Amino acid sequence: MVERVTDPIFFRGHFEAQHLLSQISQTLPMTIIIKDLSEMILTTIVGGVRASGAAIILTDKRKKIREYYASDYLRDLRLSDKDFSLIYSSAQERTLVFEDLEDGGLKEALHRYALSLIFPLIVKDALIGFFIMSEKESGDIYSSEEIPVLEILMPEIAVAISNAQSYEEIVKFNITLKDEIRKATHKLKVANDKLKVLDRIKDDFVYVASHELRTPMTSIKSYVWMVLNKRGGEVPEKVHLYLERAYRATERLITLVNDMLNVSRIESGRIELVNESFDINLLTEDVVQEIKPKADEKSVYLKVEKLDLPAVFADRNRVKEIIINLLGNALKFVVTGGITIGFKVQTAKSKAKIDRFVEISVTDTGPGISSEDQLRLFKKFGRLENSYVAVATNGGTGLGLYISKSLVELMGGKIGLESRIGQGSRFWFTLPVAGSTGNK
Amino acid sequence: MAGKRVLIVEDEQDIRELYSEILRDAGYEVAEAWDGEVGLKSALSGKFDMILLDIMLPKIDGLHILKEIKKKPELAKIPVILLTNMGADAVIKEAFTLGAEAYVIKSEYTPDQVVNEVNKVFSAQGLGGH
Repeated sequence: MVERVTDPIFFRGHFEAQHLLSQISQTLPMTIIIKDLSEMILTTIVGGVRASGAAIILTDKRKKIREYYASDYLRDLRLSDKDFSLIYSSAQERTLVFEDLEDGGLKEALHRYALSLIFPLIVKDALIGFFIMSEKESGDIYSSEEIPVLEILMPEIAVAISNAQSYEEIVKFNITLKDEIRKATHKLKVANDKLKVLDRIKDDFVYVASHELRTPMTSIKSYVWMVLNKRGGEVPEKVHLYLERAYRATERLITLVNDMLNVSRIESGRIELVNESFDINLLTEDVVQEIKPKADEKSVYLKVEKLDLPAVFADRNRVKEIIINLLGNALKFVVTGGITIGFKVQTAKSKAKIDRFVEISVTDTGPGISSEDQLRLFKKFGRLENSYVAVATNGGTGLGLYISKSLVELMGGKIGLESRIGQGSRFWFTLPVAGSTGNK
Repeated sequence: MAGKRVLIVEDEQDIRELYSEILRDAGYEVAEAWDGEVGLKSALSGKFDMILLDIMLPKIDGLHILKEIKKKPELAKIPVILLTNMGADAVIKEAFTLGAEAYVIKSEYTPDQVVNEVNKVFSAQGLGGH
């Protein structure tokens, strides 16, 4: 009560413009949260000019009230749509001072709500809302000192509020974005889980089916073998030929099942490599001994270059499979000439380490491979994307090179080829030297 | 090798009879068991010099039979060849850990190669002073 009485006495005519300006300057940077910012601005201004109330009205594109922040007397202000649009159209470009208005609808409207001052809040020529003030606490009119100061403050207030609005939008957008990302991530996770289950089903299917297929195939293979080896008595030449073809087809089927099993094992990570250090020369000799009869049968030479080699670190049985695969392929395509197995020691320098590899190559005098076909060679079923051309030619399963590539890579090596039509092919793969980086 | 007694534990009749036949032709005495239960009982009888053992069998699986054989000191020395179409790395590893002498994937072998494998294991046994 004391305050109410003394204020007009002490402060009348003692409006401190400088003080208000500096207070607002200090207030504006204090927060970027629109609600807090509005509250601070209102408190500062109401205190600074001893107003009975003030409010910030933020408008939307449809010229309607979007947000309303008020202090003191104006907290419960309810502007009718009609009155607000009247105010909007009159105040959008200039300050309205109640006392200066001509009599009429606008003045009556302001009177109804006891509004004394209305400032437009403009940022870069765009109206974002209004700053309205009710009468002074004292009942006096706002002085000719106060109004210009408030007018000076309005653009600053408008910019600060506009920034706060932008910030709020960004925060909202961020929340929406986070939510969207969360939803999308969840969808991906669900899809991924489904794929994993499908993958598992596929692996299990191949695994079980392959095993179940092997049993009847063993019977067919073994009994045909019995007939071909005259365990059931003499076999007419024609029957022998027929059964030989049946036998070969069975072998091919068994290879296919084995290859599919290998692919399934590799892709599901069920393959267990037993890496050890061994002499690649000796292993190659073993393989050559196995393949030699087939090469002789085709009158194709099979040469092995001699070279002193360091031991490699790899899975002996898998390396054997790879060499058999490469030799088998070469043998299929060579008509005249032959196959040469060569070796090389490579040193690969990378960053701080030096890795050594042994390169094993199989060079043939076959017809060569077109660059287009080279692209598909190491793919599953020799297939390029969206193409079903040239699936498993020449009695192969179309999986051999894919398996070889996977195995070589699992053992830390690389595989590749150089070939030109009419000039033969050179397939090569590398294995890490024992004691090189990453193994011992 | 003649006269050595071999037990085949194999549930597929076709395959069991075929291996029996070629092993007999090679001079072995052969007995057949058609499921895991009969197989285990026969194996534990101690009447055999070698056991050819399938893994996927009705009633009791081959790896379990192998384990039981290797548990008995008086039988542990009997060589066991696993004769199966299971080819998983983990299974092969386990078989050797349990003391199998050889591991044959049936579909990879011709009948004479199976006989060779049996001969080879017996020869190795002979060299070992069995």
